[in-house]
Amino acid sequence: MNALTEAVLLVSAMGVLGGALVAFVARRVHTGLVTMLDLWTTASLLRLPDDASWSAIGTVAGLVALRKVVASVLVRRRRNG
Amino acid sequence: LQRITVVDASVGEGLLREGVFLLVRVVEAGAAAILFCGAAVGFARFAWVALVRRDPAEFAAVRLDLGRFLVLGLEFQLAADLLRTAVAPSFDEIGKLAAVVAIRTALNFFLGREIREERSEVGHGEGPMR
Repeated sequence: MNALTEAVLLVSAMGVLGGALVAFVARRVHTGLVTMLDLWTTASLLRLPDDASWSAIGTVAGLVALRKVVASVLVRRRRNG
Repeated sequence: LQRITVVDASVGEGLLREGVFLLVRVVEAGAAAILFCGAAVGFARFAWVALVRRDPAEFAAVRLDLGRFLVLGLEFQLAADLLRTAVAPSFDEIGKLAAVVAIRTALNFFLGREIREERSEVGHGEGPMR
């Protein structure tokens, strides 16, 4: 396992832990989910130079799209109270 | 004489390739450092806000700062991809470059909009992402 793979795993773990922490404190699952997706997007971007395959690029694109959808739901819910 | 010229050309091309490869590695290392530091700083700030300050309203500002690191890291990765395609690009490499450009543009656009929305809702006094 090289340093980059370890960094990717560490950032992914930060995503799970940070997401859970934020969801618990904010008492909103969506807020925690967006936080987790942000850190997972970072992890997938970190992986890109090591594995610049189409599947890796697809993973990043999927995470960015999912992040956008969850963030939109979050904003809509906050506006509706 | 013609053989010497051909050998010179291939040595020059080899040197150019090695130089570009080295530059690509340096820029990619920069991107990785930015992304990892952004994630680490973001996580530490999320933990600080959650455990010490206990103010859920501050999560949005931390998330947007993390987004700025994301976009900056992606810019560096894009620069590395551009450098890589500078020497004998294949159609596959150009396609991947186009995909990374599309992702970066989308991420930048969404983050810019989120920053504007957060500013109007929370009153966070920072400028939008360009």
